[in-house]
Amino acid sequence: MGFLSDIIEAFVPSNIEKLYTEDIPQATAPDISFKPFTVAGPTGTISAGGQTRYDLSPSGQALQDALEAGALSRFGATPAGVGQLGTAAEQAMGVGGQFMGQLGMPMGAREQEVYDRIRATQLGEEERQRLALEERLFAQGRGGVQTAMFGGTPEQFALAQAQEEAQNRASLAAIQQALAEQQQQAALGSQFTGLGAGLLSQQQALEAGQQQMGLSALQGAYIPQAAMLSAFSPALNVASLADVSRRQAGELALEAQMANISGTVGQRAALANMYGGIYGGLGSGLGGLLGGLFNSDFDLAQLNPFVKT
Amino acid sequence: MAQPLQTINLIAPAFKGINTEDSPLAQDASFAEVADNAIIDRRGRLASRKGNAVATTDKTVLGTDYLHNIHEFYDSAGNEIIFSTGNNKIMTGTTTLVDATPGSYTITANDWKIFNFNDHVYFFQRGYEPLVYSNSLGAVTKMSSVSGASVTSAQYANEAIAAYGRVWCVGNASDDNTVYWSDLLIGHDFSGGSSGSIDVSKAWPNGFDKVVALAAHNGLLIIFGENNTLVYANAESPASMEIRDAIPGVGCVDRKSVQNIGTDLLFLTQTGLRSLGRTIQEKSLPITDLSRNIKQEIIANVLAKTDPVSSVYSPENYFYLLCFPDLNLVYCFDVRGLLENGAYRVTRWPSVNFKSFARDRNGDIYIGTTSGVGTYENFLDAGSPYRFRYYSPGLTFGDPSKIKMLKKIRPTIIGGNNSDIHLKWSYDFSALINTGTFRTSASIPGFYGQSEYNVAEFSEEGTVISRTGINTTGYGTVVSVGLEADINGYSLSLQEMNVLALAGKTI
Repeated sequence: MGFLSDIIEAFVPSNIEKLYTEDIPQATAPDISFKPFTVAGPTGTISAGGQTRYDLSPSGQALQDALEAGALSRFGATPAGVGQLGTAAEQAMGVGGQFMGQLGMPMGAREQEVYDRIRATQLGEEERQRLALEERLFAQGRGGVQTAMFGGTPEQFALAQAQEEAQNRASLAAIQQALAEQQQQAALGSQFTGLGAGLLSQQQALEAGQQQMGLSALQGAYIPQAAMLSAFSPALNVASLADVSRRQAGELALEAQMANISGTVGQRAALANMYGGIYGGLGSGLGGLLGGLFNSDFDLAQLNPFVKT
Repeated sequence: MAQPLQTINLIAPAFKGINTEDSPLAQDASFAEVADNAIIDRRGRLASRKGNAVATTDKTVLGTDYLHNIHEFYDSAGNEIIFSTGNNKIMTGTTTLVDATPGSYTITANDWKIFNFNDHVYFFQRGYEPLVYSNSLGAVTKMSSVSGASVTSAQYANEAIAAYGRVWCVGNASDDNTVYWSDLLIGHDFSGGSSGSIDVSKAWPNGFDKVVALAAHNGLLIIFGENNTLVYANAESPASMEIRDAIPGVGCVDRKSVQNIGTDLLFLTQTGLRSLGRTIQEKSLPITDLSRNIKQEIIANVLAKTDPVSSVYSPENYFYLLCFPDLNLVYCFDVRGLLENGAYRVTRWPSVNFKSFARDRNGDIYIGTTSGVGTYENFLDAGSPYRFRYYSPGLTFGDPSKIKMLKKIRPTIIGGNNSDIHLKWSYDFSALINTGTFRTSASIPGFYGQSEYNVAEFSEEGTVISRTGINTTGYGTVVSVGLEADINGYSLSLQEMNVLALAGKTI
């Protein structure tokens, strides 16, 4: 040791020294750890510990297993008739698509076809009328009439006009017929498409129903577990109360220990200050003596570890 | 034993005109074998025709040709022009013939059809562009040059008429069967408005014919073929007109022979003169032949003629004149009535140089000759006398088996101032004709209001009447009598002819 230590050793009693050297009492954490518990009920047993374990009752377990199996079978299987519905829907959509596809096609060819068929029904009578007029005109000596107003005779003009009007009406009728047919195609296309869509909807409904049944089975499969968990909840609350009280007790105990430690530290600090004062006065006196002796700037307070400089 | 004299009174001799068809022995004494330069006057007597008072004094343009056509143009404003054609020219005027042929328009024929329509006068001839004149145009103009005209060679037609508000034409260089009609009231527009055409080639009842003439009558359009006639009704609306009647076997030989006499249409067929009304009524029965009394003669003339005929109808003179220019022959048909055989009374005007006729709106008859334009008036042909002739058919006095000895012929003649009257008689159709001549009195009648202040003021009677008789000789079973006189400025008509004969033995 050094000189100074020797001095302190020489002048500081042990009880003071102990104020500085003796360990402050340590706080000990109270035991607030989780305490495993087990909930047992008619639906099963739940063991809450390091690992929580659920044990359904045998009947619940059997029920869950059956429902899960059912759900699995629902999810994995195709509902009856879905295939046929799909085929039918596909066919219906195909037919509807064909009808719809024809809507975009030009109507000129169909109009011409309808026009030709209408005109075919008219041409015979028109030819008979033309021949009759021709005969009448020749009988009247008017077979060779040409006029600026009518081209031929007024009767020929009227007949030609009537024929032109018939052609116009046939043309208009052909357009209307083609349009009606187009509308009919649209209606049929829409109808078939709707049928296909309906079949698809039914297919989806079947599949949804299948899924729903699977889900229901799945949901049902967890009902025993839920029931068990439901039973677990009150127990869990009870366990929680014990846990809370335990933690509160531990907290209180820890706070008490901390208070005790704080009191001890305060006590020691007070003693140290007191001894520091004492020794400080002694030191000052001694220092004055010594200062006078030695004119030294040495401050004994510097030697006091409890005095702040 | 002496035989009594038999008297045959030929009252109004030739009252029925000439008759060359029936046997002379069977004929009514009212017929005539010859009636030259004669007409049936207003009292039904055989009388001399009027003459040709030539008005033209300058016919330089006409040259040596004759007038083929005369036409009076008049319009609603009162403008009047006499057009005539000849020497391949179109002329105007009567005193001086003025060339009115359009410039750069060459004519090589004179067979024009000229007619008035809507204040215009139209000239049509086959193969020639039609010509038009109006007071506003001021000159004869080619139709294509007229404002609003639309004409093609199809309308370079032989025959054309104005009827029902349109001009109708037919007979171009290549087509004699298509009748064209103009727009309403626009005679030179053949392509617009309500114009048109009709091909009648399929309408002929006998299969084929070609149009010779057109006529309008009583709302009908008459289309004359050479051998058929078509009658179209509703011609007011040509596009709708239709055949009312078709008359097979009766056609028209010359478009210029067609004359509308107000109540009927007269036209010359290959078998003589016919009227449309009676033809329609009785179809083609020959009994309706208006020239039945000279049928063979007129058929021969139709066949012999080389130039187009001309004709005129004069309601003032009651006659329809049919002229064969190249034969120098005119037939005068009296249209006042029909004889019991359905024929018109007819007389001949032979050896005349009348070539064309026209009647103006005043009723004057224009005569076209080599001298130019004349009028049917007075009793001289271009200042020269002409001979009036009458010969009776063979007279048997009721007994053709007995010999007759003519004793006296005493005609009653009206007019013929100071004229030599040549009485003729012959027997048994002999060419040896006996003649006796006497002169009518010289008396110039003076009529009140016409000559009362000249020397004729105190004339005793208006018209000279002569009843001079001539003693005759010879004998025969059939007797023909006649009378000839030169018409030299005064009319002459034969009222009656007394024939005194003595009947002899039977042979």
